[in-house]
Amino acid sequence: MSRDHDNFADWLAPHLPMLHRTARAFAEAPDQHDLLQELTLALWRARPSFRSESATGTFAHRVAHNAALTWKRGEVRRRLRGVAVETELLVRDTGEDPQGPLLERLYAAIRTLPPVERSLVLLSLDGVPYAEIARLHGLSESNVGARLTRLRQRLSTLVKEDADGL
Amino acid sequence: MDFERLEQVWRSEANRPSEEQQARLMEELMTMLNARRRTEFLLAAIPFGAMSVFTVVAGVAAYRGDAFAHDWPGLAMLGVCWVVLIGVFWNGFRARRRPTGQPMRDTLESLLAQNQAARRNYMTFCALTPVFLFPLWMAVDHLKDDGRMSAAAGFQAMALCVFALAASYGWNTLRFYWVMKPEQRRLEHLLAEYE
Repeated sequence: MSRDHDNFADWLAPHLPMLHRTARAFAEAPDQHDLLQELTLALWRARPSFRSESATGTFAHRVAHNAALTWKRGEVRRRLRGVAVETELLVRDTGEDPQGPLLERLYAAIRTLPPVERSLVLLSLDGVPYAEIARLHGLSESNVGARLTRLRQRLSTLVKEDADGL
Repeated sequence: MDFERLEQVWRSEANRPSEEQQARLMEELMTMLNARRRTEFLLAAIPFGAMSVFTVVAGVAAYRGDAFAHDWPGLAMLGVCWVVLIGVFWNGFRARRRPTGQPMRDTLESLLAQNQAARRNYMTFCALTPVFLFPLWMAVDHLKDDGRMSAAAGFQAMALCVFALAASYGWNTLRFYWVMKPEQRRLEHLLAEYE
């Protein structure tokens, strides 16, 4: 592998968990690997435009969410690949961990939201400050706050309904 | 369900790929990137290779002294092809270096603007196709009248051009209805979420 490739791998490694969460939140299980590849490709292509004055985390979030919002699922490509192995690569075997099923319900609830709201919730859950979310999306900070308050209530209800089997 | 509980779950270890999974994912993603890079290189090398062959052939003919006098329009067309090819690759290279600092809303708006431009190009193409056919028919007819082309050769030339235009028209029409229009609706829908 080339030195450029090794550099990119080092640069990408800390952002891999974020890309992994974004792929799970934006795509259903069979398409998650496809989306993860697209997100990585988007970061690889965008990296030459990275200016060190902005935080790498913010840059990675911006590129990944931009790519996720405009991503289209490729039915044909998915059929051509073996899905089982890829799903195994993406979902952690939680074993007896009680958090596992709740996490799955949370992801399922996030996936029911419209794409822009999905992105807002995801950034918020990842601990990105309101001001940064507002800048990333081109919204006002108060608008982000109001949307997120509503979205948190909605997510809580969705997860609860799912748990109650409604 | 308490949202703080959901935030706890989000931050838990269950929401992180294990070290082993991360290593396997990284390896797999790097292999994919390598493959894509090879494909991109090949896709770039094919037109450059073909153009180089044509240029060498033209260069040899020009060196022998039988190209410039009679076939200078062909050499001019070759020059135009080189300019277009370099222009396309230069634009692609610049697009890769373009800062990606704009907000997502602006990215969606610029994608919609690109989509509108592509749809306008299709409309222009549709409008110009019949306009192009008329001078083509005139040129072939003129060649036949001058005795420089037989009626059969004229018919074949017209048939070939009409076939190429019809294929291009069909391909662009399919793209318009199956790619550009759904993409336009999708982007408008996404932008509406910001209202």
